[in-house]
Amino acid sequence: MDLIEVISLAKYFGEVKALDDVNFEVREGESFGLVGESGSGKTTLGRIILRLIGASDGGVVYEGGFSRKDYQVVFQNPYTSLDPRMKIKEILEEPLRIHGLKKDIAGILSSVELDPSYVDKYPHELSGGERQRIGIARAISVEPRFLLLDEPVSSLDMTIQAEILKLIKRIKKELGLTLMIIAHDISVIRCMCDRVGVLRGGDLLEVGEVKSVLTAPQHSYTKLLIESVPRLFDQVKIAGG
Amino acid sequence: MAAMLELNKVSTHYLSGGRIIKAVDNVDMRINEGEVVGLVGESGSGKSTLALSVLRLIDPPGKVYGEVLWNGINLLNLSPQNMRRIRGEEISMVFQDPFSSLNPVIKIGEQIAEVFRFHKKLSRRKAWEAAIKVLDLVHIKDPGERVNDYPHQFSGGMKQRVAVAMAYALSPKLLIADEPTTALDVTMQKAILELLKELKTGMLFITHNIALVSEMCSRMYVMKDGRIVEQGDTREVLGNPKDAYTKRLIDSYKEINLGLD
Amino acid sequence: MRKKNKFAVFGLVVITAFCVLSIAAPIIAPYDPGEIMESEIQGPSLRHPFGTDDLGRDILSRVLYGGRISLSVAVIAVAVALTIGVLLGAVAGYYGGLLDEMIMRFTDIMLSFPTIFLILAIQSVLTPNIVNVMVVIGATSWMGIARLVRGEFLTVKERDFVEAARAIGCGNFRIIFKHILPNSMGPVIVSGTLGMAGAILTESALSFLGLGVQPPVPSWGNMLMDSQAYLIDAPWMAVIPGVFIVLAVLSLYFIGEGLRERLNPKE
Repeated sequence: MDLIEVISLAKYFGEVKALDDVNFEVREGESFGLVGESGSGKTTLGRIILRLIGASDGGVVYEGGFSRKDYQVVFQNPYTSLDPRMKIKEILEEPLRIHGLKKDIAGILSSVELDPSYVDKYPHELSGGERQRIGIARAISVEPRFLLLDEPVSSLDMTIQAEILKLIKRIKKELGLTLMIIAHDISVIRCMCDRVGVLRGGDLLEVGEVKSVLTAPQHSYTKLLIESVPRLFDQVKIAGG
Repeated sequence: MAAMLELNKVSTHYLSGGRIIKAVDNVDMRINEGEVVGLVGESGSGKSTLALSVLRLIDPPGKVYGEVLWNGINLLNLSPQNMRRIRGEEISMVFQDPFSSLNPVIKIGEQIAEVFRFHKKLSRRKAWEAAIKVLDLVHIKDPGERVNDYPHQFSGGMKQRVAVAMAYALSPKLLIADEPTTALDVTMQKAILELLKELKTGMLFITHNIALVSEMCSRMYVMKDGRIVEQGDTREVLGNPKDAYTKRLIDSYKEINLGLD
Repeated sequence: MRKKNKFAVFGLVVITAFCVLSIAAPIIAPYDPGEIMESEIQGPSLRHPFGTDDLGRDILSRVLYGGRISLSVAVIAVAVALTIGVLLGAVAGYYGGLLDEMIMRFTDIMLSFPTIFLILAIQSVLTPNIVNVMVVIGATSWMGIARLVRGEFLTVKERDFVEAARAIGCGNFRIIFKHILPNSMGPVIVSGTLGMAGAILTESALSFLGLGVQPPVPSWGNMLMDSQAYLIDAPWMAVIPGVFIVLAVLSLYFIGEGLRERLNPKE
């Protein structure tokens, strides 16, 4: 069943094209990856799906209708996505209060592998990885159906990236979420997603199962993306592996 | 054979709030002529501070200790004048952010020509011609025309090429590249790396990505909390890591690229 | 301690002292400020440390009570200005579009009015008293604050955590007051302190012209008015309130500058 269907989506900022004729669907329960470089329109697409900005043409259909509670997001930059003047406790309570849910904050913290003592801290006291965990906790606390992760690990150190990705995978399983991961690094998509869409300059070049797209890319740009990822010696190959 | 660049017990300390922060702690390093050496570390490791220390670009409250020997001469004892000559002519640097190393209100040609006029005392005309040549060297199309453009007319990848061009303009023997591709798109990354390989000059390649090190460098150092925790032949270190941190870096890479389960 | 901080601390000490003195005026003042004690003007003496005025009233007591007036006018006037300015600036900055245009044009119009004349005109029509002095000063000095707040809102509005708040489901009200406003307060506080300095000066000017606080209630401004005829014979009548005004205004400037220094690098 399709949770989200994007139909002929176009977005123009004045004269500038951000997206044009984008069509794809995200099936319930899957992890859908969107790969693109800067200027590809991936961020804009994410914001339109979350209804943070509107589309110029076309639209998005949500199974069962859209609600903020059901469609949540984790932002890219852990350093700027948390209100610097709020304690962790307040940051985590806010979404619960808005949607009328009562939950144990300590429990929420442990679900993202953070010690309950973090409740009284401020964002600037936390590391990037810890802040990202808070961002994730905030999003899943309202028990959404769908979680959009916009470059969830690009601002983090390599050693932390793997931990956070593991956390996301675990949470997805536990909560039965549908994920959409936006990334410029195709290895992240490969590692986390079932299906992938390749975006360039506002056009969706191809969509398909991760395995097929990566072993037999249809578009030369996709090929270029795959080849551009640096490899650890020649032994480690990106595809298959 | 004596090393071109030799760091002996180099430390960079910052005095902050009554405490001493050891950004770089007792580092030994050697780079031979023509060698591409990698320096791997995450944020806070001190790798960028180390690079700035070599070029004596550390301002108070920071202070650099130890020996930074360039062909036998300790750069830390050099007069500011001589150091200025070395910077650019013998050792130069490419930074991570292509946007901030270029002055937005001055033509690209002017900025490159300035390097030649200051260091080689070339005339305006000759410096301009040299600038065009250097743009061609970094594969910028129509260098004769592009030389009149402003930075905002170049894409991120091209700006980084220009940054490389400026750093390489005087054919320095050592190029320090501090995360030169991190701010760029993946597709552009490859092009810049190819360009750097072409230059065939000695290089200190600083990055947080071990895969890049394996592609670019024959030898490597791993840095954590200001200290070198492991060093050696790239294949050796990455194939047979001895330090726990190095192992973690490699494991993280493998987990993401080979599967998290 | 850095040089700038020394000034700010000085300012803080002086203003706090003035506030304490004003609040405690009824207790500290040696005499009743309206009491005619002497039959002629007297210079500073043990009995009257700041001398007396032309009506024989003790200047020390008057200046203490006058402080209450001048300082409370400053505080309330600025409170009025802040309320209007922050509200308009926030709405303009957050909603943008037509609302922003309208509010900004209105602000521009208000800014184009020569405020002094506006105040004078209003005051000459109304019966001048403390309350309408406060309101009038407040109602004619909110424009700079509105612009500042609008500017802050325009920037902070774009920050990630605001978008995150929207994504969580926060309504506009909550976003404006819980998220953006607390993160925009820096320049507003600085404006507030400088605004207070301005209000003291304006009140003094108004009262000096007879359009502010009316005698016999003392304010630093109308004490200056009374002193005009006696500048040569009894300079202390002008100098004392004058010095208090200058000290108060300077202190507020120092505090404002100090705050601005502290708030900027931290950002």
